[in-house]
Amino acid sequence: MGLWMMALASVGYGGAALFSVAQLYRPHIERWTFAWASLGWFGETLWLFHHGHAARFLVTRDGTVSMMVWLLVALFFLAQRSSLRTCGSFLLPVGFVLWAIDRVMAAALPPLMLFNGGWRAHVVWALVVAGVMSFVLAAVFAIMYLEKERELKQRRVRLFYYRLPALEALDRAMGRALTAGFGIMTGAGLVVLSGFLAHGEPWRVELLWALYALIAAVRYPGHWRGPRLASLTMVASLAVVAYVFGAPT
Amino acid sequence: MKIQVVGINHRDASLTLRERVALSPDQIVSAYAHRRQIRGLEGLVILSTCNRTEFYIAGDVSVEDVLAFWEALVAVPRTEFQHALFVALDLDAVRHLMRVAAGVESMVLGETEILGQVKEAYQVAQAAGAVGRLHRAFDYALRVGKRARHETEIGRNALSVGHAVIELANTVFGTLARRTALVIGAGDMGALVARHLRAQSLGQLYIANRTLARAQALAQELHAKSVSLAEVPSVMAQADVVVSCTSAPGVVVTREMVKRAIDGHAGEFRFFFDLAVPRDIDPAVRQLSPTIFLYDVDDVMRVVDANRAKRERAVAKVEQVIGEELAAFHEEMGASQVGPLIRRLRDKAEMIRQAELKKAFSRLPGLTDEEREVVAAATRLIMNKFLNDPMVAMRQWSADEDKQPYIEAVRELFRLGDDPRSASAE
Repeated sequence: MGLWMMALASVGYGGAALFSVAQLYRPHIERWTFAWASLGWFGETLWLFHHGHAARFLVTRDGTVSMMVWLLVALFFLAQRSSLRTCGSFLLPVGFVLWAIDRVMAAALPPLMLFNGGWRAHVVWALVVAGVMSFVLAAVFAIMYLEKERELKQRRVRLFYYRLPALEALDRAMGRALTAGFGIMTGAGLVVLSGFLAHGEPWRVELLWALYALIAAVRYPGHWRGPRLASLTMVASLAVVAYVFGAPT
Repeated sequence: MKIQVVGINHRDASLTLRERVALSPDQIVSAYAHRRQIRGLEGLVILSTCNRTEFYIAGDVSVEDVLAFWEALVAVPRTEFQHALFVALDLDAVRHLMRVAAGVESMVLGETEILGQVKEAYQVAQAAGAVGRLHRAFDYALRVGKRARHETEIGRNALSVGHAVIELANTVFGTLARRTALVIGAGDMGALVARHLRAQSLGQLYIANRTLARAQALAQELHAKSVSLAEVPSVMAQADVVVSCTSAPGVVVTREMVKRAIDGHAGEFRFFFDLAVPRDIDPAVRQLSPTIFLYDVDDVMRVVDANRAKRERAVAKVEQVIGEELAAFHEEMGASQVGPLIRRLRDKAEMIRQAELKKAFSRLPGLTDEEREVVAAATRLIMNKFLNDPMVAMRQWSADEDKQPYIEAVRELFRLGDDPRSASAE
């Protein structure tokens, strides 16, 4: 049963990723992207319930990544009504890659060890998921920014010149995602700290927080914008992916 | 029903000729008032723009009569414009109208103004009660125009330098509302770009020129601020968009000038357009910050060329839309043409039925009202069943050009004669 749901999600997300890229060239196939993404999302929703019931997905790493992918696709649906709707063409392939790695490596992934902090453990888990999500979203906006900027700098307009939102809109969206992520991770850090004070048992979120703090520092006091911030976000997002898939927690 | 278009347009007629035979709004109103001079006319819409003057006509009207009417209106002998004349009939005429509304026939491919001009021509003709049997053709054409703009990219992306400057700036800033722009040079190009910028609800527009009076005159026209060239460095610090198009022989905007202007704000987006030849802006400005963009006139023209190619690729999709709508129009027109014939066939059958019933009832005086009703209902049923198959077939034939002789055969076979409605119209 679980396998069937996982297959449905995989097929749906795979189709959505392909159509979302094709949609850059043929905008009228947008409805097909939506349909495939809905199919995958439906399959994954069923799978999350099934898996959560069977294995308490909260405490498994692969379940956590799946939850992140589920939220990414939810963001894609929300973005359909905004001026940043073309982010789906980047968001869905990223989501599919995360989903595919997660499914292939599920058995090999190290366990997720939550600290014994009662309610705090659940709160920190939710905040870390949201924090990573913000990072992935910022990385997607960074990719879009760099692609569009590349065409403008080369002074040869092609696909992205026509399809992607204005550079300033992308830069602003990237900044907002990072600011939100920094706030979320600071909250997670405070909860962890309170747990440590209460139980003397830490749960490591400092890598993520430090990355966010670094980016916040260069963006605001350092006035970094545009390509430098986008490039840094891309590099940092790789570290985040490594963290998600196996960095010690 | 015959539909035709007679006219001249930019493809075959020079601007001088187009000017001579164009109709002013007053002349168009006068033309509608005197339209009955055209024999057999069942509908008339005149479209007169800077690129075309076209008479859309419904009815069995000869081109000669249209030309006589036209030459009387503009007082230009037909011999002077006959060589550039364009005539299309029936579906070709409607296809042409659809192509015009979609912008495919425009001098600037996909320009958006033409749809409004077609709509206005239709409304003026409507107000004069002249549209007649052209209503559906114009409804379909206006629908094609809207679909072409919504479903294809025929009308998107700039095809002029002025528009391209705005488009490029928008790809960086999203919108130019509340932004600050500086135009250096108040010549023709400077004025053109300044007008485009002003139309973007800018926060502030500065115009700089070597001759300050010229900058002041343009600034006054556009509600902008004029500055001298000496003030350019200080104004540049506030400017998000800088357009330079002077005729100066050397560099007007130096690297050092820009460096000082962006000092402390190097992370902000700025777009420099150098539309001058020789160039006004030092190309080294690009290296000052990754958020600075500098385009010269060749770069802007490359964008225009890419946009034009994109519009040309959209023509195939527009033709597809036209094909769909033309087929629907053809079907509708066919059905509407066969309608009167069907009606006359039914009327004739009903007349015969009533006459024969009357005779039968006179021979059967003992029938009660109920019995008479039963007999009448039976004859009605026989008539309806008998006519049903031919009527269905005729509706199907109406959409098929090859089956038109069958419809004529029905007309002859049942001696249904000419359509009295078409003879009395107009």
